[in-house]
Amino acid sequence: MLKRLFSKKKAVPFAGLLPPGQVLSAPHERFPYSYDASNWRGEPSCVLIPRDSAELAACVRACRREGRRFIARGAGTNLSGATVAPDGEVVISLTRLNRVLELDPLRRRALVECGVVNLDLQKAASAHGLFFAPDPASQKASTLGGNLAVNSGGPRCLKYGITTHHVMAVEIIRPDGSLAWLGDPLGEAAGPDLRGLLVGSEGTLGIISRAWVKLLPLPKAARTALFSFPGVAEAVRAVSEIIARGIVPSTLELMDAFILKAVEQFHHAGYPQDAAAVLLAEVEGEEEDLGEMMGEVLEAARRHGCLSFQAAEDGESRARLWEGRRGAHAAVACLRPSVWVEDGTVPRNRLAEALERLQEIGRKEAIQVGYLFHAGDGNFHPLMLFDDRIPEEREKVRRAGGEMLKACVDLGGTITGEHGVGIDKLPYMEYLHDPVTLAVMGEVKAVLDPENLCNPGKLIPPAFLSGAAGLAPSGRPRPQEAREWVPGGLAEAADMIRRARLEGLSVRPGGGGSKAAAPDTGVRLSSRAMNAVLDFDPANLTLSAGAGLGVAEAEALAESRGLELGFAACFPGTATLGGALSCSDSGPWRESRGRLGDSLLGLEAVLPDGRIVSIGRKVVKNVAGLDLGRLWVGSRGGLGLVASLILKLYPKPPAEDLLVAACPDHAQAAAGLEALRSGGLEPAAYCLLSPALAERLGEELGLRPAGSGGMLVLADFRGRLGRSGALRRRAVGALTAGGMEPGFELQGENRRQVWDWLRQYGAGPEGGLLRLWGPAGALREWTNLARDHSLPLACHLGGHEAWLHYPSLDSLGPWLDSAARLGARFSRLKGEGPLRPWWPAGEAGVMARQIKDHFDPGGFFPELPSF
Amino acid sequence: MNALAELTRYYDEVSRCSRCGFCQPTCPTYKLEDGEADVARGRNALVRGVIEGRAVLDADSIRTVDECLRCGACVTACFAGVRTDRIMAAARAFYAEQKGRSRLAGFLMAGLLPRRRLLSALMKVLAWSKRTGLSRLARLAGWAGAWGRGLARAEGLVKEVPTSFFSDRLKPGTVLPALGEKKFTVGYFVGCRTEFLYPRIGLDTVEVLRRFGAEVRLFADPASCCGLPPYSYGYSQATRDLVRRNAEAIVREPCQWVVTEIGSCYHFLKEYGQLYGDDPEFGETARRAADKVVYLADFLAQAGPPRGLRAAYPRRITFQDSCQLVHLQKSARAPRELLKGLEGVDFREMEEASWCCGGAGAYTVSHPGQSEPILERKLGNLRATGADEVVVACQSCYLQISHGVRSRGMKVKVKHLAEVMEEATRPAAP
Ligand SMILES: Cc1cc2nc3c(=O)[nH]c(=O)nc-3n(C[C@H](O)[C@H](O)[C@H](O)COP(=O)(O)OP(=O)(O)OC[C@H]3O[C@@H](n4cnc5c(N)ncnc54)[C@H](O)[C@@H]3O)c2cc1C
Ligand code: SF4
Ligand code: SF4
Repeated sequence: MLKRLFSKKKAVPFAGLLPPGQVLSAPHERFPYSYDASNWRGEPSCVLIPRDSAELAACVRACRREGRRFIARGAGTNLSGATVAPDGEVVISLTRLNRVLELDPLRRRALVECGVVNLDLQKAASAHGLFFAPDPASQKASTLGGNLAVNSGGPRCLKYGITTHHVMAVEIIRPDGSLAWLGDPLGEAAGPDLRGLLVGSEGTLGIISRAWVKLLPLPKAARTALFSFPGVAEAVRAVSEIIARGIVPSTLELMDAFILKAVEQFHHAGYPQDAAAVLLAEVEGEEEDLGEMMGEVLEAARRHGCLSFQAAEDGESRARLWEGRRGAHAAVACLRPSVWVEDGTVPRNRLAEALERLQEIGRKEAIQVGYLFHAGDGNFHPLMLFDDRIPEEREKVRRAGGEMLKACVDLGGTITGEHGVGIDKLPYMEYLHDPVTLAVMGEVKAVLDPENLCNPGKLIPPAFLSGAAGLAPSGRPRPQEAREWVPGGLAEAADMIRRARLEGLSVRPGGGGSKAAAPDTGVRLSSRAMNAVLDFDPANLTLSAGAGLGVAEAEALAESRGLELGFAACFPGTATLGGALSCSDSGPWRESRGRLGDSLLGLEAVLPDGRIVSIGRKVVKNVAGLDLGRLWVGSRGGLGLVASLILKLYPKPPAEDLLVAACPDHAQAAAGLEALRSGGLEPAAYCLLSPALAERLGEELGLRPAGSGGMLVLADFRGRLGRSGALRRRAVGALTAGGMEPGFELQGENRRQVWDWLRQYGAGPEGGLLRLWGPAGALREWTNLARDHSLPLACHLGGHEAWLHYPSLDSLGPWLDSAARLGARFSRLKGEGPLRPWWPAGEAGVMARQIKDHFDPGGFFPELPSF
Repeated sequence: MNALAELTRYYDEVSRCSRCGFCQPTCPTYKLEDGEADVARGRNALVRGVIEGRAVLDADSIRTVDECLRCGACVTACFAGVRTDRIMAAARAFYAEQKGRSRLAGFLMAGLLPRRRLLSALMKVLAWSKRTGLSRLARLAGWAGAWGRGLARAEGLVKEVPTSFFSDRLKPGTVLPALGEKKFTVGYFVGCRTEFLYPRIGLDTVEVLRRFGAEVRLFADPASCCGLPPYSYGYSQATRDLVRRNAEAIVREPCQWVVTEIGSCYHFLKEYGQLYGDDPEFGETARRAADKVVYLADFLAQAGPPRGLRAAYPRRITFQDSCQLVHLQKSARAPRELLKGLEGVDFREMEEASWCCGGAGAYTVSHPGQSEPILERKLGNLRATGADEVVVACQSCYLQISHGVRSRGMKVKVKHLAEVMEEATRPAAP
């Protein structure tokens, strides 16, 4: 005993931290954690295997205490070296945090631990007729934590979007071991969208321990077909045309001749051998729609020289068509000892051009390359064959990869669409980002992880990590006479912001002034002169515009080409794009179309210190670095002026239909929604108007269904229903069965008028507009309160959200009490005056504060909302 | 050839592993603790590291290799079809070569397995001691160390041992005529588990083959082991000797096919060509032998029942794949088709039917700590089917699942495919 006490045995690291078997420090135990699916290697000094959030937090605290840097590792399937430990960092392996903690089929949400394998969540969800949209090809193995941390894509992104669109809230363990919930399980937390910043941060800002994710109803039917083309260029043009026709297939996967040959050699999927390219297309939706949609796809393919086509007649032939695509990587992998997969993205209408340049690079380096495209997204993977045991071959492939990605950037694309930066893409970050933007990424990292403990040396080039030097303290703004400055462009805006700081003037960025009055001191910095349409690219489904462009103008422009924005902000007549972004004003279709931030592809902003940040491109998949744009979503001018935006556009659905029904109370409305959903009729928006609001709507638009006088339900359908009498009758039947009295079926202009009216309602200087989100019980209570107090309230049952128009802050008391009691939350869309949230800002607040203090020391710009 | 050079023959194969991780969800040992050392990717990385001099195979790291079931589930999941099963056998051989072997195991593999008569005599003694309760006594007395513990578990796994072995019932060299019209001539390969543990299953196999119109020939001088055990445990010379002897016997036998009902033996016989096809001394024979071997279910499905043979089995059953059959020989269809084709049968597919049950030859004895939880998962899936009988295609599963069912007091019966086919086609008593 004594002997053991005094023996000079080296202290075991992390002794006693976790139960035996969960701390691996022997060389043979650490070795298997020295690699991922990339060609990078690096052995950790220790591996920690927590089994729940509490153990995970303890691990992080222990690392910090011992000054050890650490790396979160899921399944280790990333292709960028993101989980290898080049400097003997500690690896925290998360595979045992693998429980689906809650699955709520009614609200369509799941609470998962980060180590749950993507496919396991799919299985759990499908038991309730639901699915989780992100489906990376690695879904059988990769974990949700990994999917979130890389912001993964998958074949179905074209229709459903990337991972971040389906993440509502994340719980993170911060580098100091504290715990923060970011985002909101049901709605959108106020303030900068820190949830969105964490998604895609590759474990550099903290470890995601749990997450609330969104689930969608499983599509009822799908149809699959394979088209062959004489060349890749033709196939790419067909893809553009398909999208231009307003069809959004769930998948448009393209393979070149090289891959075709390999596939046929190993899988015998029956792919045509004479073609130079094949396109695998799948459409999903209502059985009745599919024939027509596939018809359009075929028509588009024919117009671009399609040689032949095969449609899957049944499950088996569909599986066979997919087998070729799924096995493509495998087949190519059988040709040489190693394959390296690059991951470029370009604007989708420039794919053909990109391919030409890449092929040239491949030829120059004499490398065999096959091309696999997520064509609908402009994302593609050159599969380069080599032997990773031969250094010259490794070098060659690496060189070619770098050149290919540079070519993508030159074409307006990015260096990684879905695989992430890790170590592998670090050298290319400077192709894409300017030094200021990279420095800002580095500063955000340094602010949130000052000791650089979390996955150091990944994602952000080390040269830009010099620390959070920040601004020299420049005092505080002094109260001064109010004035308005209207910069005409980005450089001028930056000048003005610098000048204001020198003169000690506070600055309040503003757009159309629809939601906030002019300040009574300092500068109102208006973006209204920065209202140019910078680039409208209907074929690529993108719009770049100055932040001062009006929402209504942007909508009209999109509509002129059969497109629409991904959000429907309030007060479209006066609101600007920048203003809508700063309030994260997603509109009535949030649950079905996504949050406003989900259609933000990029932006330019002037920081409170006058530096200009420029992030994002005209591509829908881009995971090159921190998703900085999210900082401005919902931050209400607190982090500087948004100068321009790049937005994703969507094809307008072929038909739209609005049913207006009189509804006695909330219970009936909820029952009606259930009845619609269980009948397979999914409304895009479903909104219950309180009597006060219903009354006004009736008066102003003359819409007063029989039996009204109470409330009104607006059930909005986008897609097939508008053209099918039978479906419409079913929907009316469902509402009637729910105890409502359907009164109107509105299409086209008439439908539009109703929504425009609702969005414009409450414009004007008086009063305010509050968004509240909470569980069904909360919505019911708020609706009843609105009836009793005769206040206008629009309750979006499908989106778990209510909009309350209030005359004065005093009148809000009952709602705030109720929200506090029911654990619901709110954010303010319009209005002035102090409004304190009832919930503690917690660590999320601390994080927002840290970012704010770093970029705006002295507080020249407005406070962030709710902190 | 030195040991490393021998292992380096697998350098190309192991380098094809791209570390994609797709083997994780189907590897039974990975699913125990989700540890990277316990999955094909980790195992292959280790071997590659050894070849490249970045890692060592020592008393610690060999665990990674030894704990592999060699079930081949990873091969099915793998894009590139990396043969982790072969790589693991090679790694064991490398380690054994380096470290020297246990004398007892060495004797068993090289001295005993090829000598059927000697093995037979020894098995008789063991069987007798089990029946008389002597073995339990020995166990109580704490007889012997690690091997003793292994033997004790092995002994506990087996419920009862037969009083006579297969070759006591049907002498080597016997030729049994087809029942009814003769359509085929087949040789029957008797594996060790049939010989010593389950002669009944062997007799049923022969009977069914005969009812399906085959004249069945038994080898005159059988080796009673296909060579899989010494191969799995890294005894290269012993393996080669057995393979050569069997291959020659198979090629020599005047028949169209050689049939076996044991999934793992079948697989290994099929491997002869791949593993020894280049052997300067008997490569050609090894290849021809492999071509001649057919699995029982494939044979029956191909042959089809002769006219007038009624096959009825009015029970609720499910099927457990033999790992090596399903993953390495890609044969999942034939046994199911046969079973589903039986009159009156209520066939329930089992979740994870292709997952190893944890038996894996001697694995259940050498790695009870892994084997038991793997078995537990299997039994959970089995319960969920609600089947009254589980049909297996390999005696290794038979032993393991029987032990599982018995020790948990489950009512489910374990049957070999051959037993089911025999019962189903048994002529009504006159
Ligand atoms: C064959 C193959 C196909 C692929 N196909 C696709 C595809 O179609 N689309 C696609 O987008 N990707 C694809 N990938 C890449 C990869 O599978 C994805 O990036 C996946 O999301 C990674 O998940 P993982 O669990 O393996 O994470 P890991 O590889 O373990 O980690 C990836 C990154 O996430 C961080 N991380 C992991 N868990 C956490 C956590 N809980 N908190 C914070 N950070 C964390 C890590 O630190 C690391 O930076 C593919 C990979 C392979 C090998
Ligand atoms: S053979 Fe079986 S146990 Fe071994 S690695 Fe493959 S799947 Fe896992
Ligand atoms: S699936 Fe195959 S290639 Fe992928 S890690 Fe496993 S063994 Fe390696």
